[in-house]
Amino acid sequence: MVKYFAILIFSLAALYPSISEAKEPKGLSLTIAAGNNFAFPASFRVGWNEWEYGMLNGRSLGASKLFFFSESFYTNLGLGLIDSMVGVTAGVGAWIEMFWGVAFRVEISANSNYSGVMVEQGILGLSIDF
Amino acid sequence: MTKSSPLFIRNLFLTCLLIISGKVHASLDLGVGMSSTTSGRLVPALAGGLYTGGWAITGSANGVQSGYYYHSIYTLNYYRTWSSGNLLGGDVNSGVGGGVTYSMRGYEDDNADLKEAADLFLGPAFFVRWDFGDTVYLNTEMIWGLRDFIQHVALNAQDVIVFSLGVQLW
Repeated sequence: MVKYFAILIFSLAALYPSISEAKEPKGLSLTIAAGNNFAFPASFRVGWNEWEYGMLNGRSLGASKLFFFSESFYTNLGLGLIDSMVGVTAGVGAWIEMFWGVAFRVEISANSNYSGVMVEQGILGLSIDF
Repeated sequence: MTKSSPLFIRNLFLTCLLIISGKVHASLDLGVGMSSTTSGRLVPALAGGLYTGGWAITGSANGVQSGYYYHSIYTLNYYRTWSSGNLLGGDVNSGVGGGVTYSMRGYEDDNADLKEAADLFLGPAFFVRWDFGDTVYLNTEMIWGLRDFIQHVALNAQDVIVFSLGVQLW
């Protein structure tokens, strides 16, 4: 249900990309999230401006840049270790502000490494802006 | 008037339309890469697309064949696109839309008939593309296959990822 909800939200958001209203992440943020099969923690990220570093998802460790296309939705692209081999991660996600800098976070990403391993990963968690 | 006049008038009309329509962003791209349908094996995939300023159509094909089996996979996607920003000096473009995947496979054992099957699934899709240099790009796209509900609840999915390195042909 979570994923259907996320897919529906992404699809609707994509119909109305509003770059002029896009969020511009500033400063430090922390993200902790569950992943596939609700493994926890599957993601632990330290963010600085539009970049995030750390355990991006259950199979990827590296750095990723967020590209917001509206107030709450973004795509991202990064480089890291996918299953311990160099690879690329790209995804689409939501960063929905709730209260006191805390945001609901959901993201689905495609991860590919140079040996040909390609895996989908989802995360569901919270981010905090400092 | 000659017989070719309608064609000439149509071309003239289209030319005028292009001139007055302002800046037109369009490219036809072709690349090679990998697909998650053969994940773990370096099976080359052919991937390409037609991109304009606001939408894109992309597709891919890959497959394997041996004396005992074959597996062919095709994808076709339509995206709403936008320019996302810049990464290490290269432009990043993104899009979200929908896609369809068609997969055919067959297996033939010794002294047995060929067994064949096919799958078709569709669902939402996205891509993130990094253009570096003038004409070279790295593209990752993914289709969420909407089939088994229980697996989606567990954040697992029947997805197809295509990763490609390509060039802008036009």
